Amino acid sequence: MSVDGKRRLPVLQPTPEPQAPEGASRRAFLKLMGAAAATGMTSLTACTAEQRERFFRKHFKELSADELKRRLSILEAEYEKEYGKKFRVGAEPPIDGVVFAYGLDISRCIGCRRCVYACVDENNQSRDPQIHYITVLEMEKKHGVDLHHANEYYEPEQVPREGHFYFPVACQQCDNPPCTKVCPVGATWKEADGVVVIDYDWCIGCRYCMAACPYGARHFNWTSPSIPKDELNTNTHILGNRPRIQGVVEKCHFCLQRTRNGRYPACVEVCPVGARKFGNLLDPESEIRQVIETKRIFIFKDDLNTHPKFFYFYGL
Amino acid sequence: MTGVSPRLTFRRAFIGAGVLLAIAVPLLLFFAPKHSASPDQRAAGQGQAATVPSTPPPAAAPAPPATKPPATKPPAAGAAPATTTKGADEDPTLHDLAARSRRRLETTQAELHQQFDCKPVRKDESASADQYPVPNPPFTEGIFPCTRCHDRPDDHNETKRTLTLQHTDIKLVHGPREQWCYGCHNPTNRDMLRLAGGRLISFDDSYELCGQCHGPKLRDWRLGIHGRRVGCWNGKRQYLLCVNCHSPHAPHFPKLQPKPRPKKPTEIHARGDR
Repeated sequence: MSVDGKRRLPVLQPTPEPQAPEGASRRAFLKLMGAAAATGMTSLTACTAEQRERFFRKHFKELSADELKRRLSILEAEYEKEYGKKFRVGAEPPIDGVVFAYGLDISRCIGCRRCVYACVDENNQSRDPQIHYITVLEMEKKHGVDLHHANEYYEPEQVPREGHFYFPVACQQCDNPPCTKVCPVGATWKEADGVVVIDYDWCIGCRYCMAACPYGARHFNWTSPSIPKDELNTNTHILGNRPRIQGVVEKCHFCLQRTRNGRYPACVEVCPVGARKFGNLLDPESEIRQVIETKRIFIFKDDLNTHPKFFYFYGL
Repeated sequence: MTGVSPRLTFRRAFIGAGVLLAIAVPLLLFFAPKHSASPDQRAAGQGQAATVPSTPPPAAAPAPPATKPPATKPPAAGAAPATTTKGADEDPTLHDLAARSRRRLETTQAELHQQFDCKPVRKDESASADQYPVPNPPFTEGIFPCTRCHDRPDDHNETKRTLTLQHTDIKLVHGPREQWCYGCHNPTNRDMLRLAGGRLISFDDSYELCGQCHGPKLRDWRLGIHGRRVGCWNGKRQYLLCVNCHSPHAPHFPKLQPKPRPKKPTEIHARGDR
């Protein structure tokens, strides 16, 4: 303690400028703390239970059954408020003994893009800016599957065009997915039925997964998605097609809201030429197993060791 | 530290208590009312939503837009028999064969939102009598039964010619050049089809007839590889007849107009920036 009553550590030189009196700084600090506490209290007590729950939420996989139920009802209420429609947000778990796989007959696809828009309708994708899970590539027959000779912007009067074939690409639901490995927060993972899903509440929007995906299957919501209210699909799944927010990544999830309830994905049902097949990889009598066992299979970017569960085949 | 006065100690304790209180009180307030308050607030939220005037009562399935007229009959098995083909007679373009084939290919919104009760089937169930449940054949409205007009069993002309009185919309573009009606249709009882071996089958089993020439396709169709799939992947498989998609008289698929291409990166702008 120095003579003037100011506290100074003996090892330090006296400060050249006169310090504010001790009491004043402490009082200022106390005032600040008080103000902060008051602000915190008002903000915390003013926000709703839903907002609090959202702020302190857990990762999807850590939710207990009760918490999940509450989460679903909160989401349903939120969507009803926002869109003025009653939503069903489901969280059907993977079915035991089921691994989903997909088959696409390249010899039949005519490139009509019905699947692209059925998918958009079913999965509440943003219309503007546009997000399409399925990209249909037009390739030349003389070159085979060759991305250097592929065009996704074809727009002839009528398809199929002479000398061309069509190669729709969506998420390949890899068994060895590169995208889930790079996620820094674990917001995307492979489910027990083989579907790679995203927890939209946990995604931080870093887009590492988009860089890691060799199929260009992941899409980013640069703005909050715009969907006409009358075109909303209100039958949703929490890891699937529930309305997304700005700043999260999304991708094909094999229509979880349908497939985990036994239905075919929307793209399978809409395909006018029946080029799309879907089924349980573990059931020897399923269509997809019959396809794999009896047809010539092509695996897209086989050399990358991603082990897709999306099998292109030649049915003719 | 003898220099620390008791007053200062008191002040420090006071500040410590203050800080603790500042942290603890909001936390307590946060955790205490969470469970009791949330149902009320949820109810309140729903109440607000319910007062939105333009909210229609939600149906079990999203109602299909009325813009698309029902084309041919919805191809799922178990649907009501050919009632939806009414539009066929009203729509003159349907007499155009290509347009009719094109209609066969398009799926309506209603079909996509059909409700199915998907229950996994046991193996013994799936092997039961009706192994290939198919919908009714997509007859033109009022054309069946054929015997309503073709009522004389002995009256048939086997020579290949251009029809001028009836069935003028049919142009046979199928199979070898010498193919004629009675290659498939039974000349004596017109309500039946006739296999190459002479066995008569009903129109509901027409896939057997097609399979006479298209054997591998029939095999694939039975396995579920060939043909459009609608319904449940784990339930009883829904089959479509060959003629639900392919016109039997001109089976090659017509070309379709593709849906719009995706936007190119150069066409994408920030919202409100155009």
